[in-house]
Amino acid sequence: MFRLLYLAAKGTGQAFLLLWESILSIREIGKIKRPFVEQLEFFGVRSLFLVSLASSFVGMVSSVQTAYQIRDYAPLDLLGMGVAKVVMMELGPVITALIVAGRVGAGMAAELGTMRITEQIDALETLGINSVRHLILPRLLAGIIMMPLLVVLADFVAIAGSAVVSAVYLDIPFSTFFSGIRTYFYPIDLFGGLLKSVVFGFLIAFISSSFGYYAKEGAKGVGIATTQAVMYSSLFVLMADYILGVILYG
Amino acid sequence: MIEIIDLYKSFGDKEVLKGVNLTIKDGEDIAILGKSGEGKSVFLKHVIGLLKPDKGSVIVDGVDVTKLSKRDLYRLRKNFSYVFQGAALFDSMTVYENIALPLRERGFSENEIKSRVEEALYLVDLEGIENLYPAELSGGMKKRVGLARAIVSRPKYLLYDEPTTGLDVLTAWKINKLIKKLNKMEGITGVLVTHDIRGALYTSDKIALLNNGVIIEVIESKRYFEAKSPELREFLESGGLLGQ
Repeated sequence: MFRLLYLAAKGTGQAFLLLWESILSIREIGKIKRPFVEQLEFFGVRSLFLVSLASSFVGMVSSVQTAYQIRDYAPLDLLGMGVAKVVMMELGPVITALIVAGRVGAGMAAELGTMRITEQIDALETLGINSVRHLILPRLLAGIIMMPLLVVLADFVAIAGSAVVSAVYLDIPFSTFFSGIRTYFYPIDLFGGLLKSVVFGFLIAFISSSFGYYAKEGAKGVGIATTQAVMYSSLFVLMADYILGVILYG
Repeated sequence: MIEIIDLYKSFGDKEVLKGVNLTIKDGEDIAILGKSGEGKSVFLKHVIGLLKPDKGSVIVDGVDVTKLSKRDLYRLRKNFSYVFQGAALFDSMTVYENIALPLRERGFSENEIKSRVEEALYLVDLEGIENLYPAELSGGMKKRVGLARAIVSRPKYLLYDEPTTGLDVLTAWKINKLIKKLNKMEGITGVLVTHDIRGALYTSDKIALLNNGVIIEVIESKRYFEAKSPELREFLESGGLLGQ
């Protein structure tokens, strides 16, 4: 029990040290152009297809199930409004974050963990290159920048998917669906979701990088780091979602 | 000059270094010999500040490495290059990018980088492989690319961590010849850790034996037959250099 507490405290301390060193290394931001662009591509561009595909299904099932729930006590004209709000405020950011935590978080932890056990991180240090600046800072910035963009895409695709299913399956014309969205749209719905996505992007990049950076004990250690990165990223995304939900909409 | 003074390091209950003392003068090439698990790599990592000792000092050109801030440590490391046992090439980068990285960090122009990378590859006899990735190279080629990356920034101190381990005899000999060539370049101080006694004698001016956490003997390579300690004599016998 004490050993578990000791390990948890040590891990948390190491993670915050890594964060502090990342913040300090911002003064050398001009030197990370290349790794930063690579991370933007890895985090964002390569997630486009998966996020779009998942979001389309989220939007489609939202239409069907929302219609099922409201059909007896509310007009179906409000379906667009209901789906759009739930997508922008909750489903878009959370589902995207969970997908990204699985794809990008695992990738980051595995890559950094492998670099650690094959001494590539030590090699950077011996070359006089700050490994935190070179490896962690680009990932944190990419997470913070790309996550909101992915969520905008996810929101758009989910709402479009929902509109198509509403038209085909529930006979709700596009004009009715979108007029419902327009009438009851509040900017906080969208911007609250985007704020959540910034926090989620940071959490995924930070937690996954941290587990990878401190990986040890060979291939087994990389496996453990990768699993923990996905597990804790997902868990912290859901915890942050609740806290931000209370702050923004409570 | 590098001075190691009373260096101690433990990992958990295991004491690895138990008071290492050694002085390496500028321009000198020294090989640290020792059995596997004696702490040779741990010793070398202290020299460049990758590990912090429990006690003791590492003085490089009058500066105590163990007391430097991270920023000053990065500055000091620009005088060093480190050749890793497994080469530690960045596998997401091509050979060219691997060798160019330390120069990019130091703000060299692209033209200067190109000419220095070509020169480094020429020195290790690996011209024309700039666009290959580490995964496409053999073990010996990886080590030579590691050497090219180490010399491209023209360091004052070259540290080699068992560069011939895991190689066949012929490739290991080629690497040793290369190390000797690099060590003889002007102004380079070489520190090689190895358990290859013949390679150590061939590449270095001096050999030192790390045994049970301390340096027990330092002698000139050409006077190896005067070794006093039974442990070093045993090493020399194992390489067929002294009579059984």
